[in-house]
Amino acid sequence: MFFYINMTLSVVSTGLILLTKNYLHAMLYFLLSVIFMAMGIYSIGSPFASMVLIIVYAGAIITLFMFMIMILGLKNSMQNNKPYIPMLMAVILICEFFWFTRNNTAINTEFYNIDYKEIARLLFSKYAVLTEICSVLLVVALVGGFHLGAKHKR
Amino acid sequence: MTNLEHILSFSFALFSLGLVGVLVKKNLLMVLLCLEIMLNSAAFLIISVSSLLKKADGHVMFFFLLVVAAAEVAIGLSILFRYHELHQSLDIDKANNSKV
Repeated sequence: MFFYINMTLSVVSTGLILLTKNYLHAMLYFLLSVIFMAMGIYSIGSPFASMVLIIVYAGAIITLFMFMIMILGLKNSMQNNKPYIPMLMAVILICEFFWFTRNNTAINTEFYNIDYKEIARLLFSKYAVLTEICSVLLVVALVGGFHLGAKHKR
Repeated sequence: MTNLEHILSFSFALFSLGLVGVLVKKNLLMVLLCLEIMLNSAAFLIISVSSLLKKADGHVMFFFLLVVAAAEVAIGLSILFRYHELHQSLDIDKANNSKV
């Protein structure tokens, strides 16, 4: 039941990105979409992936977008829609939070499907080469980001 | 428990919304954001199906997808920074001519 509620709200929030002209609101709608998707994934039985989604997506990627908005100093469209739908979504999030912490539903680990130890075991035994290649990929992205952002003397 | 059709329909809805956003939006920052939506929908599909089949291989692929998304965002935003320096705006119609 929670899966359907959360994923429907995630799709609605993603659809609202296309309808708004304010790019700051679009970032916040995307954040809402990621949070609802994380809760949907949690209710289907993979808690580790939902936490990693929040940490990496909401904590790093959207933060990078916000940094770009701050650095570039763009002029935003001053179309101030009344925030009724995001307020409703926030109220639903708060209700879900209280539901999960009151009934001890979150501590009941019987519905977990994926063991995080299995992920770690697979990462270092079966997909070890891919893990090393991913680390190389991160270093390449780092070097590329530095090169593109540096001021070169002409 | 949810079945495969519902998971697929949600993932498809998210992916198509991101695709429409990439094609429609005029701001380059919005185009990058809708690209991230598409990656997010693929990640959701991978995680949900692997949770349905009770195997952890899909979660490992999710990790690699996350690494690719993060690296792509870093490089894409650096390119956006250069674009802004060159054209003084983030309108993608400014890049119409190949002459700089």
